[in-house]
Amino acid sequence: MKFGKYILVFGITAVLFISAFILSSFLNVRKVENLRLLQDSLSLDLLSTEARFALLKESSCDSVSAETLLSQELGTLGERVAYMENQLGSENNDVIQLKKYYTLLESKEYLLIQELSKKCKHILQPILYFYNNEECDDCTKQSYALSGLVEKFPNLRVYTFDVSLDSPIVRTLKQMFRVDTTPTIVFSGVTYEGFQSLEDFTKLLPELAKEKAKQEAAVKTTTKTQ
Amino acid sequence: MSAGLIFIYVVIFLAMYVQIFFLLTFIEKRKSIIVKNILVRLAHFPLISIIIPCWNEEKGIEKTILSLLALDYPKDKLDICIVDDGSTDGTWAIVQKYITHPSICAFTKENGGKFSALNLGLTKIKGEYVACLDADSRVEPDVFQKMLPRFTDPAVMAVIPAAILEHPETLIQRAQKVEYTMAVFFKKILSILNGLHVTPGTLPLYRSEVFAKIGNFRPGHQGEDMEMAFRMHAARMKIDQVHDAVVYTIPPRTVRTLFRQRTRWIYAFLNNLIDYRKMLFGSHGNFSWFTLPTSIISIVAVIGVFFFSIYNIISYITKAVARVHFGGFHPTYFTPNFDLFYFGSPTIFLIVFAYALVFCSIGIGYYMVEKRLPLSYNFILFVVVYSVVSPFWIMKAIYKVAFSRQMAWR
Repeated sequence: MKFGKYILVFGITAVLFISAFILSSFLNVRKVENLRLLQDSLSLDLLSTEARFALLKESSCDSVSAETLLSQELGTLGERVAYMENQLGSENNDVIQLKKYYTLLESKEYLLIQELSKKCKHILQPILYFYNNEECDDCTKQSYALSGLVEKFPNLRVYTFDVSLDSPIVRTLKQMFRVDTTPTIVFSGVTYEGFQSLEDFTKLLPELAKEKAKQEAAVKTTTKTQ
Repeated sequence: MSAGLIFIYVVIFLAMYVQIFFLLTFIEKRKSIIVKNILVRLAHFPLISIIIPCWNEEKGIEKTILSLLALDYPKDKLDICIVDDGSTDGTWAIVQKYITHPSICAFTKENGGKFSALNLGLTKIKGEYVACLDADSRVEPDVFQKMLPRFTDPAVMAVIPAAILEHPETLIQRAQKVEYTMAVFFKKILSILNGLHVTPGTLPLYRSEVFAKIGNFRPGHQGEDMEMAFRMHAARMKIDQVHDAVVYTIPPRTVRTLFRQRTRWIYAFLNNLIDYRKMLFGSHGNFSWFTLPTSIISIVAVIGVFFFSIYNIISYITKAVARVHFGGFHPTYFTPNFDLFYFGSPTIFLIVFAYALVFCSIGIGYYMVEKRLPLSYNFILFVVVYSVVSPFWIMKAIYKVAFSRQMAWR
């Protein structure tokens, strides 16, 4: 019996096995690069939105539609950053950088929406959601409730902030809204601590609910007349 | 990294190790494996006795006898011994139709199990070589002419042919066709490594001295063919395989019968492994260091992967229920995401590699048997049927071994 062959096969298997990990980490590097590009393009979008908003300030609100001004890609970016965090771990430097940039983009968009809402009565309301990936059992529940909420009211925008992220923006926001615990939600300038269920939210959002009912009624009438 | 994931990595590593071991051996010996279809004319035709044990085989027995009578081998050198193991159907009536044939003798006895029928046969025959054939199989005419030359190696004490499925009808049979074809390749490699752990009922050909030296068949926990192979290895006897000598067999048609058959196989394997435990990592070459460990690994792996999958399915369902509970039901939650961005975890690559290696083995098996590549959807059937059902028959067999239950033969 030759044990040399057993060792040779072990070597080949090890090479193939390790190459799966190398391939995966190579792809991860590409993905991080890809996300950086996406962030840059989003940043450019936001800059252009700000400029357009400034230019349109004097014109009527009809020409300023929130849907056209804001990019939908911020959500996709958020999901991808979360995936990378899951893959590479929250301690990973690339992940931390990505999250910081993402947080910055979120806060810029949040400010823009605030501005927009002040001038034009767009039903586009921002929600700030502060979470923590560790030691926060309610955060998972809260995320589910919030994604359910966004499905129900597409005019809501949820901006998520990881309180454990060492970023000046997060610190400032935490100070501004006196965030001490997670989950915490800030809506219309009011801070709500602890888990807020879908029902709690629906009560908080009477105008949105009314608006939604109105829209549905309008759709129904149109279908009837057709 | 979770313990479950580490376990899966270990399992995938070992599975890849085994596949690469097979493929490397194939590459080493490819010239002797891919034989050209030249039939070696035998200089002399030794007397061969064929024992057919049968129990309620009225459906298949006639076909089996006719295929043996059509063998391309001198009729006076063939001695067919049919042993009816107390059938309760029309088997014996069919056998009697052939009893007058000069090459055929037949006996009937009280039901006592396959090993007892084989042993009765052994007392009635005098061939230089002894073959055993299940009554649901059919042989190719040139099978012995292809198998006998292997005995020029004096160390070879038994030779097995390739068992394949002729016309799979049900989905379960189609899935088994892939398995049997792959097994032709695996058994070829195991025979090269002298690590075959079974001389199955599809026409193994023994030198008659095997029985004189190590004794007749034993119950072997309903795997008398496996016990015989273990005992032969213990006595340092070599078992070879000839992949172009073909015997057709009819496998179970339904999940239920397949399940029963496989539970019996695993039960027999585990019990024989316990009986011959000293051979594991012992001095019996690749049988001790490759065949037995590989079989154990595959059993552990199937069960491990099964529980890992169950765990994942349960956590997926729990998460889905929580999402609906806290966020309401929205169809978008459950639409699969085909974004390539989310593809590329190490596990995915490992699974792709492992399946690619399995596919290579199946491909070589098909090439050896049918001289073509397996471009059929049977492969998918094979993967689905075996990954879903096999954990259950393995677990049932382990349960039976643990509680030493007697298994019903059928």
